[in-house]
Amino acid sequence: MSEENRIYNFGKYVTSSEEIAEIFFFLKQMESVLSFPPDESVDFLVEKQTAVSGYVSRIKASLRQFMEKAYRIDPDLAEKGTCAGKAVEILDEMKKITFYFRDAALQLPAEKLKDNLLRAAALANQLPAVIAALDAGEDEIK
Amino acid sequence: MKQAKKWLGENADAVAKWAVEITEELTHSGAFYTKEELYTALTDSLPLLTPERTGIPDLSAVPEGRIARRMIVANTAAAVMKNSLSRDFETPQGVQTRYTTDSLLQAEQTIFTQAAEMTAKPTDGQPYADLNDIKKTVDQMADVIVVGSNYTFDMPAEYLKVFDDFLKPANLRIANGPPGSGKSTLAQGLLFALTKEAIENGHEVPDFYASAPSEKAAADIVNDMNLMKHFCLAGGAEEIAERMPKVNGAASLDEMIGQLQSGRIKPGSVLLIDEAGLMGAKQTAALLTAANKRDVRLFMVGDNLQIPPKMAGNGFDQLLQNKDELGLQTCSLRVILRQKTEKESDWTIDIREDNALKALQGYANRRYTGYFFTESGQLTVRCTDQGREERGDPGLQMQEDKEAVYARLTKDFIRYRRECPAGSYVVMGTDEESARDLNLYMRREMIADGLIKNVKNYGTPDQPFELGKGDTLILNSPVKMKASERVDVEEIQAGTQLQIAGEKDGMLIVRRGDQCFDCSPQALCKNAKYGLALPLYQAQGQSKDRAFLAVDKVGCMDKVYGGVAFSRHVRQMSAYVSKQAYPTLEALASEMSVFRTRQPLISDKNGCEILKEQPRRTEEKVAADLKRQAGSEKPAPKDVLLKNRLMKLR
Repeated sequence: MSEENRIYNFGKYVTSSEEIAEIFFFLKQMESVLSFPPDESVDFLVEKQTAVSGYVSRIKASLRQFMEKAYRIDPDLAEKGTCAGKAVEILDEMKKITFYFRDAALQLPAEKLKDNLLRAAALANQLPAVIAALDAGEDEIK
Repeated sequence: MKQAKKWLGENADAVAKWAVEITEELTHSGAFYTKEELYTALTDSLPLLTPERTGIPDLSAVPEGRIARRMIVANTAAAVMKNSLSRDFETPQGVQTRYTTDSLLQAEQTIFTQAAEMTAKPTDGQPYADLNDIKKTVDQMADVIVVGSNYTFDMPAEYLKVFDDFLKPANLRIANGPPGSGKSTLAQGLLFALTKEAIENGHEVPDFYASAPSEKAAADIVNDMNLMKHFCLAGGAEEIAERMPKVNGAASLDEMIGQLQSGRIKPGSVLLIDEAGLMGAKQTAALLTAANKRDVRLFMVGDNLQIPPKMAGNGFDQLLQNKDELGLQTCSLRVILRQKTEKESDWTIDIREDNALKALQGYANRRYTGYFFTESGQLTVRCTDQGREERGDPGLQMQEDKEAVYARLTKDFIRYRRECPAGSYVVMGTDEESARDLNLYMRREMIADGLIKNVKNYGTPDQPFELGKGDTLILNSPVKMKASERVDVEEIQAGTQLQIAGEKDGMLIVRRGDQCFDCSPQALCKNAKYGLALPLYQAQGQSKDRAFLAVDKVGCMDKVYGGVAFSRHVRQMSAYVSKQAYPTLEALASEMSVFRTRQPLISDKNGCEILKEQPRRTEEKVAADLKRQAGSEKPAPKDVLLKNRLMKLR
């Protein structure tokens, strides 16, 4: 089977788009970064928070490439209420929660860092369904 | 436009710091990043440059307006890309340039140079080059362990060579191998052999230290090594026990590095690092630098294919991949004792060594044709490698889709339970979601077949939780349970698999191995879930007669997870692969050949050219570029203005 017609099956979600598949791969990897044992150190929590912020950018870059290819629009200009708009809203919120310079993040208490990771995890859980709906063309129907 | 350039010029140093922070962030989730990812990360973080988030007040007054902000991002990104290390990668869309950070590059360069220096330094070696010498030492150690620990220590013949390699004179020695391949024994052997050697040759016994990247592993390795003294005392090697030093630990690896840096560890001491595969590039660089400077002999043991808890590089893997260039002799622990059916331990190694297709084809051709029990009561299987034969169960079979995978796996599982009730088993889904779906499917069929019976709802009408005799659960959190027929109460740890064996006086009787416990149904409803099928990360560590594996989706089977999935069985592998996920064995093998995260930058011959790179000082250069660009916006000098006016007049 050639690369062009490869189907990526992620269980509940199936896609033939390289960009959407990449988003699902990133989400899968981010899942393990978002969990942490209760007695984790500030240093380690900062590592995780930084990694999540990096994943958010990588996911959004893949989303941007998908949107430009499929709809010729910048996802940041997507209307609210659409799948693209919802995905951007979630990613921007995750970025707001997790973006810190390292030295500034190290000043945060462990509880705040844990709370940030939990909030980011709750938002990340919403992404697969939104991305799958976007891939399925729900925005075209609207 | 002017406002943006002015802001960039005035805040060039802070902007360069921001740019470098962004690249560091991107390389937490992979060694390289793309231009698009850099643009996105800069664009999305620009409105967030508050003093609370950055610690830098200068950056907060970012000019308003979309065009100004786009220009800030574009100029910053261009300066970063111009001054960062890049490499071209083949992708399905063509060749793509990707970039990395100075710090990761510097860490990997440090690892390389420090390792090369340590390898080249004189060793004041020990006389262990002769295999006969090491055989005597290892035989004595094996006797000591057998008598001292009261358990049978079967030393495979191949292991002797591993010990020999590990104990040869060196300032840096590394041993790599899968779980259960004898790495802790190697550490104990190091302490035993060096103590024995010092006694025999009249040297001073060196000081011993041990640590690991995780706190639990650090404590475990110190305890394991110190046990050797007790083995020697109990096993008749009193002289060695008497001279054997206590192995010193530290609360964490960073603390151990601190002890090296502050000079608290004597030159010539021996430092053993366990679980070295969990170290990031920067921590490995710090460790090697400190050990080299302090003239400490460093022994690192680990598995470069462990599921990593930390990000940003993989120093241990880098050392392994560049061992030839470094002249570093490594020990590869290839003796896998778990898989007992012929060729299958070789296939486990094939998966680790980028030859997954050979292993998958081996399992696809394999037919298990029956079970029998040996005189000692061990289950054994008969098998052939005639893939076309219809009789027998294949080691790997392709099914149309997820439903077909679940249906065939469940049918074979129920037959196995009926035909071979004494055989142990593990059932695996690729991830949490697959395991949940597979559990629901298998339960339904097992209830229909009678393997699960007397099913009742122990939950509420809103949140039903049905359980019956024969159900398997896994605990989400610890639960205290009373041992059946006894008074003592035990806390059963989260992650434990339990089987429902019946119900008595309103309490459920649950079994863990051979032990039975009484537990209230409410406690189980609250703290457990169906757990016959396990996700791969939870199956890690299981060792059973037969393994059932459902591969129903892509994205979950890289080299590490694939290695776990195909190495849980002792006698029989039964893998079911959805053609919708992987149309061919080649497609599955290709995903199982990729180590998705933490690939080192310097991992091949082209990568070694990176070593010749001078320090890049990206932050400094980005700041200089931005200042230069802002400077070019200044009004043209008077002589140029005059020249232009003259040109117009002409």
